[in-house]
Amino acid sequence: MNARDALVWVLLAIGVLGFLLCALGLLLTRDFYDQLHFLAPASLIGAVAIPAAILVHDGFSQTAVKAILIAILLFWANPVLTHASARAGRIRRKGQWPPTDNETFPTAPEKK
Amino acid sequence: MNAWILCAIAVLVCMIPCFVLCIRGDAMNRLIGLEAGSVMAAIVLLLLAEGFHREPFADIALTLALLTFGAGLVFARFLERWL
Repeated sequence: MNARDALVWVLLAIGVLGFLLCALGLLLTRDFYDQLHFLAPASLIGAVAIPAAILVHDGFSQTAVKAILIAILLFWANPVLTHASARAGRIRRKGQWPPTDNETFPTAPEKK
Repeated sequence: MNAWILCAIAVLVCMIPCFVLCIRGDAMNRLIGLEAGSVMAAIVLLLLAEGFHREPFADIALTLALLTFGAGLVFARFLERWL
């Protein structure tokens, strides 16, 4: 096994760990807003490390270029989808996106 | 069986909680399950294309990744009020 193969294995392991973290998070949390956080490891770690492994293994082949496109697309789409889902969840619960008149938010304690 | 196919199987196993969420949760939990599962499905297709040395099959993964974004936005929009 040369250094390039070792790097491919490491990147693949990081990618699978990202997906595993996402799966465990979805399984262990119940609230919708908590679950939203666990979309990130799949899209930001898994979907970048595995195309990177393909790029290291193949160089700039046809598959590697498509893998880079997929990584860019998923990396860019995840924050947009997370925000859209959170917005949809809030509108379903509260009826509107802006804060209601009597709504209070927890604030950080003031520094002395 | 090579490293790519092994990884594809591992990611497929990670998709099981997404299926569980799609079956058991309420509407918003199901949306999360769908979004996470779609990302994993696109990567599984990419890994299988690499594992079986079929370069054109990566197009399917690219198409699915594109459609995932549109589908997630449309579902989120409709789940705000109408579904």
